[in-house]
Amino acid sequence: MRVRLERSGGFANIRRTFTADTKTLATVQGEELRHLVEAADLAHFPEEPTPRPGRPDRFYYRVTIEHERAERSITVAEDSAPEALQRLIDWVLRIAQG
Amino acid sequence: MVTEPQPGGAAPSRCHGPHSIACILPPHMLRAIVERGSPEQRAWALQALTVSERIRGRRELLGDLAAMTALPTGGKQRAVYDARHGSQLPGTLVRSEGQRPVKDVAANEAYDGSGSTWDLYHDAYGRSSVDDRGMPLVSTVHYRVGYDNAFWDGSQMVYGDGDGKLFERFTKCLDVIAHELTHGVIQYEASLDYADQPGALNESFCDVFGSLVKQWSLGQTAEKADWLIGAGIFRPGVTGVALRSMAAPGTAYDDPVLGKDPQPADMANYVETADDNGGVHINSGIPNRAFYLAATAIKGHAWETAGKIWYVTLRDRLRPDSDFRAAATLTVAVAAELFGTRSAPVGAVRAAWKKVGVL
Repeated sequence: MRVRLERSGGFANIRRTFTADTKTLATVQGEELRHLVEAADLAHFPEEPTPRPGRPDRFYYRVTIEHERAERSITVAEDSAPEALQRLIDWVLRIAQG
Repeated sequence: MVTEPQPGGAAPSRCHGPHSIACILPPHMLRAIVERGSPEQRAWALQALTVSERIRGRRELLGDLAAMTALPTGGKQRAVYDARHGSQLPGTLVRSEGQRPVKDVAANEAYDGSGSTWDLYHDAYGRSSVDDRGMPLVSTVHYRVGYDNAFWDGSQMVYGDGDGKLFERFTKCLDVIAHELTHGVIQYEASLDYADQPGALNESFCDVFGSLVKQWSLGQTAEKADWLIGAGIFRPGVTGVALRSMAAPGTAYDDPVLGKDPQPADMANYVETADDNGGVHINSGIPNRAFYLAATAIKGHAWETAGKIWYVTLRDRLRPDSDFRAAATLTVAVAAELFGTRSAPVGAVRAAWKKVGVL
């Protein structure tokens, strides 16, 4: 399972991509990632963010899960990510940035 | 376009921050709280009312209520909080107005930077804080872990520490602090929509006053200023001088990891995109350069003449849906009113907008 996180927007407006892959992670971390993905439940999440007025300098996250030839992508504004999704985002950022 | 507050509802899109309950209370209840609540309740109720009635022409609704509150009206009121790497706002209070510097560099930078911003708006334009009603300036530092960003959340400033590899802490740059506070000023004035050209104007006005606060604190003339936004925010090793260049948009950085500065310098290179709320941080390069061209043609301290024209335009003329052309026409008109129809500033402002292809 691979999780790709694309962060855009923000004060700097610099697009950056972070990934976490169970193939290259330690077994324990791989399990952690699977649990976080399961809890985030992206299958029941809208693909695009609900249209609403932009918030100055906030990030957007595009989260893509690749698993057994299936792929699921969703985009969310940072201040409207549900808690479980936010935990997944934080985890990938932390792992990818070392 | 003027959007009237809905009866019983106070601008729901602006409802966030620690006192979101204020946003769902009807205005009559908020007014009752302003009159009879505790000092803290009165402060947030007044703030909620001011936001919901921010549209010019409706300010009389507030009337004498503002005068009845215990809110400070004379001087700066700053408070700096520490999120301790979490996401709860505002966090723990670490320094308030008049207190001596603390050990934490970021907290002191937020305190000093919001003070310099308050001072420029007050001394150069007679403005009392973000809302022009003496609103306390609240900052939170150490937001989340390694957070590469700073933002205005509708009622306060929030700063990350940066990841430490590409970005420094976001309080390091005075122009970043003044940029964020100007988002607050815009919220209470023109309330420019945060999308497409109005959004790029919103971003540009934040960069303009961000740079002006820095120039003012250094006592620099337009000729001496670097006209950069976020100079010093990159860690050593990143190929770039800053996040944006007002003098030469598109040239601030070109780095293997971060990519290249995407800002256009004129309308011929305007970027049509759905990203970044319609390119608000991209196309802001065009009005940014117009301001730089006007200020350097006028010469001297940029906040005195060009800055005054931009400030009055933002406060009195721009509307939520104003585009680049409206900003150009209105700044020329304001320059004529302030300095005379045939004055040098009028010619400089018109020539600047022509040069970037807006007029």
